[in-house]
Amino acid sequence: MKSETGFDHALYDRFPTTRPRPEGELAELEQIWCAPKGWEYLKAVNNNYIGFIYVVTALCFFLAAGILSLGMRVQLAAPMLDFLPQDTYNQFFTMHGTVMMFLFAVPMVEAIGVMLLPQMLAARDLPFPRLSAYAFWAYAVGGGFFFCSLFIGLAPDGGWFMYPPLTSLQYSPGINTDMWLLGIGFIEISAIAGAVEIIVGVLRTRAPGMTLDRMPIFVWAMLAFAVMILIAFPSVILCTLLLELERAFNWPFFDPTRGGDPMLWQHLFWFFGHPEVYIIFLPAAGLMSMMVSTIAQTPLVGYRLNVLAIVATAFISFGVWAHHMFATGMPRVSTGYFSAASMAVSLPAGIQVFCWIATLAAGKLRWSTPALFIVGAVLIFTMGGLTGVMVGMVPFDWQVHDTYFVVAHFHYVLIGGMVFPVFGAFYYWAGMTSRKPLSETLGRWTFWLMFAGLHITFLPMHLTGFMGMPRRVYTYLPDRGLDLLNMISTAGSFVMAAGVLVFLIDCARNFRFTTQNDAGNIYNAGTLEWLPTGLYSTRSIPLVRGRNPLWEQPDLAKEVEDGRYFLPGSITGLRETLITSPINAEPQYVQLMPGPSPWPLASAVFTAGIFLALTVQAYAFSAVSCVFMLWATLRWLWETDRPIRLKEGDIGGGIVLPITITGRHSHSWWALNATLVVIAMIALMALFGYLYLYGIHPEVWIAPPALLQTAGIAALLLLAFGAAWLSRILLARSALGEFPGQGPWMSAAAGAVLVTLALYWDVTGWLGAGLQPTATGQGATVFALLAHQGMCVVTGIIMAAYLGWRSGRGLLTGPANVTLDVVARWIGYCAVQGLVASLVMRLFPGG
Amino acid sequence: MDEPLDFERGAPFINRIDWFTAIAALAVWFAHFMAVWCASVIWPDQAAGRIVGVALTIAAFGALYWLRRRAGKPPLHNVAGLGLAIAAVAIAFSCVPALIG
Repeated sequence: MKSETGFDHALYDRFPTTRPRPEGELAELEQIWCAPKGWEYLKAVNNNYIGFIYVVTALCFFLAAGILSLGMRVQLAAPMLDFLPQDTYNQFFTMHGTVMMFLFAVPMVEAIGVMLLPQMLAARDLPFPRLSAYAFWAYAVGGGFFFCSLFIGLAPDGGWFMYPPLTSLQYSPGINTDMWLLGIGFIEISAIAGAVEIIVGVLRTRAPGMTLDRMPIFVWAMLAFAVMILIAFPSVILCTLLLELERAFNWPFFDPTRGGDPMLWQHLFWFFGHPEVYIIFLPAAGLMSMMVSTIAQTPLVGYRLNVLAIVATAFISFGVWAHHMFATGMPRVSTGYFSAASMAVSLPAGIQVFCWIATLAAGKLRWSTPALFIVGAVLIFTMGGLTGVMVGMVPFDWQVHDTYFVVAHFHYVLIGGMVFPVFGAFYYWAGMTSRKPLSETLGRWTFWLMFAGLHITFLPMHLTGFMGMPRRVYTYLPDRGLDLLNMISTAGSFVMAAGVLVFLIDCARNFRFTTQNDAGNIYNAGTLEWLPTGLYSTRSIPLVRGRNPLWEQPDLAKEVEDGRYFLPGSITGLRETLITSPINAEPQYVQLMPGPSPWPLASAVFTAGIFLALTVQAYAFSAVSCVFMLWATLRWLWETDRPIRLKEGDIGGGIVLPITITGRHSHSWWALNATLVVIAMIALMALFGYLYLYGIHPEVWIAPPALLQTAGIAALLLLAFGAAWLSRILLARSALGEFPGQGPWMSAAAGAVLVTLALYWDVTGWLGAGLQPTATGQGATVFALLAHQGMCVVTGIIMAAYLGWRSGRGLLTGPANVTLDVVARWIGYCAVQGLVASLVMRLFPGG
Repeated sequence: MDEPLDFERGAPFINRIDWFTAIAALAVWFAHFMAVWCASVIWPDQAAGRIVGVALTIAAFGALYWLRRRAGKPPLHNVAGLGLAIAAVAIAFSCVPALIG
């Protein structure tokens, strides 16, 4: 194999090492990675704790949303019932959909990723454990408050996709809608934080030798999942912010009387909303691939095809968003394109299904509980997929649009594509975190009740849909042929709930959380998460030579446990992990890991405070929360970029690697790039909105400010970019560990000042040209883009001030520094974003 | 463990040309899709939109052909070959509305 980084692969022959390990090495490792006790648990950042509590929280939201659905089914059991008042019913179905999609499905797969990935990759932890903790706390605190709105009658009631004009101030004057817009916007921040963590974790913390070709399929799926989140979620963040701006400040993005358009919401929402289905499905499919291979006791058939299918699904899923809009009167040829893409996406999904079937056929299947859930999931998902192809056809969709047929379709897809694989995964991986495995007998009861309940509930809905029963109605008239079918659906929902109840009983009886004495590899799986682990993950980080290392290297577990591989102890006496190259996983450097901290929790709580205060328009309280959030975040960061005396160390086998590097080979470089993709996507989608509204209502467009002013703004932004770049060059000139003076900081700060001046000129220029944000769709989108740029610039100013503070304390040492890298590149990005946005808005199409 | 099946053998997985080809083929599909959609919105239900759609499809197939040649005409069971095939089918699907309106 050709080396990717210059690392000599012959060095791998030194492993497993033969020399005895020093006494006390393991005890030191345990002491370094020990967990906080009692209330201090709130400071825990280790994936074993955060991942587990993340999964439990997501499961609680699943149960809560499930209870809401039972309430809805009771209301619909017979015609003209009064079990739920109409308003409450509206809140129930809105919260059911919202909680299942935003608080259960995405967080659950992210939680499983946080819990399993470090062990699967044999990393000590994910690379930013405090970010994982922040993502969890933001989700738990924000989600908890959001759900509680139901108890005070303030829950959103406009459906989970919140279409304006129904959700505009005119038709939804209460704060129910604001609760959804701000709550979901906030919770998505958590999802994005987790996605950044997962991308960097997958690409940079794999065990040496775990090339992309040897990566478990679930890891591939999580990589695609996280990348898709970075691309898709900014769209929903943007559209929720735009609608909130319209409701709070009367900026007419969706008001057609002032040059806005409600269809803009649908485009932005579904650009997120349909990939969201695959964002949920792909990791679940990854779990399926892992379990299929194990229960058939044979390597997955078509590993590479499966990987390609994951990548292809991720791509094509971004071309199907408008199939939710077939009934809106789009041009006929446009609907045809989306219809074609909707059918094309079934190709890669089909490849995955055939890979699973072929694996099951090639191996010796043992009918365990996970096996039942897998086979059940394939069947249910295929049924849902077939009705998906049906509704992908425009004329058919027109007939069943917004009927119970669609409800049946997407429940088959989501339950088959996500819920069943996840329940199978609970049984399969329970042995990794529990002293006892879950019961096979109760597991079979769980499966059959859920499987039967699903069909009894949702199969009749195809018929009620065909018979014209619209979704989201709180009751229906008798004697229309709907009574019996609805009664059957209601009975089925309780059968399914009984299955979930049996699962909970099973958990109560058998599940006992542990981080050390787990039940182990009861299904004889071949991947690394089944190595013996502690809070430090594996004792030593193994050298991977195949896709199923435990099957291919029978002695691996003992050798790893004896410390015969990489990083068997701690070099610095601190938490560490090994950073490897992105393709071939060649060892590159040792990363220092942060330990327990209260700051991620504090930051998440104050971030929640900002959004909750905005919901009730308590702007002063929101501003105070913002200050505290910044303080908590900066305190958290202060501890992470610390100069250390030791510059390199032996990672085992006599291989010496640097400790903590910066620049484009570092993991922090990758994390910032991922974050910038999110920011850029928000700007890109806002630019789409700008051009879209111009296409719909060009008559309200006014001429932009003078060209000379545009040239001046562009010059300022180019200077800002140069100043940011210069700061890195100035620092690079100083020797290792040397303090270079205040030059680098001053240069970065000058960049921040220049982008601020450019923004001020841009805003005043548009105001001078007579554009007002409340007047037209053009004004609203131009000022929304400028507001986005303003948020980035303010962040840049805070970062520059923080950098100055660190520089003043002498912590900015050459020739490279992580904090300066991040700040300089952020300011440079702000300059580029401002340049592109200004030029597009001023030169096209208004110019 | 069982021997891997035929399409699991062969060239190393991290064959940059294979993966570049597969990803580039899907990117060609995405670019084609966005372009034909934009054309259909700019010229709604007009012949111009459909003609541009067909022209873009021919260009997309040209790009796929170039990618295939560059990758050394990979077989269908290879990552590059399958990526090209999926992209080609998806592009062909996308052309149908432009042809039949």
